[in-house]
Amino acid sequence: MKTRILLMLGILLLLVACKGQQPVTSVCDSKDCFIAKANNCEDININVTEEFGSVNYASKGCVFTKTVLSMNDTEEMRKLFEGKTLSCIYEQSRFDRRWVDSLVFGIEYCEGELKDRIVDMLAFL
Amino acid sequence: MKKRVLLVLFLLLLPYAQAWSWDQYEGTTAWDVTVTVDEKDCGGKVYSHSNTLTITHKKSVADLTDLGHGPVSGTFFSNILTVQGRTIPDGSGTSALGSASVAFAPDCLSFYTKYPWRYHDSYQDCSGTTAWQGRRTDSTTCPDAFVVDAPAQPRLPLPQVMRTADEIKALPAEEQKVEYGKVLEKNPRDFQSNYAIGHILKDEKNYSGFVKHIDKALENKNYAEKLRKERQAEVKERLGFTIDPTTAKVPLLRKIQGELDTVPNPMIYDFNVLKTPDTRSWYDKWREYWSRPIDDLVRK
Repeated sequence: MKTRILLMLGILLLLVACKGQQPVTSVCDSKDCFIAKANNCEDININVTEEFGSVNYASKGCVFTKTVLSMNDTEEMRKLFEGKTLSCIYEQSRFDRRWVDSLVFGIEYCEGELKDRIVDMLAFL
Repeated sequence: MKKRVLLVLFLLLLPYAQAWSWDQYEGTTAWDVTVTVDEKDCGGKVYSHSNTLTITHKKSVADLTDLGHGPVSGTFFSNILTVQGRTIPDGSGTSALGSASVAFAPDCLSFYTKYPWRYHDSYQDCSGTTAWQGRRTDSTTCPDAFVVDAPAQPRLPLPQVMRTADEIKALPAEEQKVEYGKVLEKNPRDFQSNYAIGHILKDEKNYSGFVKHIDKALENKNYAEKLRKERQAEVKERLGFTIDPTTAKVPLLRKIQGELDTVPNPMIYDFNVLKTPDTRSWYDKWREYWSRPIDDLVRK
């Protein structure tokens, strides 16, 4: 009887412990690391200082999101771009590294206000 | 005698020179629009409803009243109105609407378009289409302003039975391809046919055909220039720029230009695009490669 109670308590403790666990979010400090983990559909998040400003790259469940955090540009441009995001859905091992290496290339497969703004800017070239 | 010949020639040529196009018109028009929404992929069905629509025409810019997703503005190029894609709040989620090319019939009495959209919320991610079939209600002819500008001319038989690109646009895609093909047999550089057939091929995911026809269309430098200026004016107005964004003033534009200038092996939709040595036409092409069906969002 005692053994039974101990066993049940053990199972109960195990269940509580499992419930408390959160999905592990990976940590990276380079684009290459980010790309490798995103390609594997791991949850990953990184802030990068690009030539034009600061950008957050995040990937969760094979959905990549790029967010412009701040820009070194005119006030009008900052208002138009800061806080804007684009998202790209991909399949495991099909992550397109141009999404973090480039502003323009590869975003035909993406959606979001950031993409719309970039496409708008092409009119001024 | 010479004057008489010139007069006859003038009368003969006048009807061809005076082709109607909505991008020259200023005023308002009224329409009944049947909106058909295909929500099958989202667990719904195909349904239609009727709406009244007022279009305020300001030559190449047109403002449309609400047809279900809020009022929108578009840009006329000849008789094709382009409404840019956008993302809107929709119920508990968002809908990303694809850009719509609305084809207006040359008799000024109807229009048609079908555009894709993708809905996303925390429960589902699905796509569908919305079609607009418009019928003019305020008149049975092209607007009077046009008649004033171009008084009635003797109607002469056309030299051959050839549908215009605008008429073709109102046909189903397969028939359009055949008809555009006929136009391109006569004139392989025809801008409107190349541009339209390019976008049909893009919808069919034939990206090499899409790029080939867009490139061919843009060989018409005047059209490419006109298209660029109209897009610039539309974007400038829509985004509220107080200055003309140029590479000298806007660092982000310099970054984009730098990417287009230096990319060794440019690709779009996994199709390798041949870079042109002429940067002006290279930028024009790249700009026009964009509006794409939302169905392509999932990278296969």
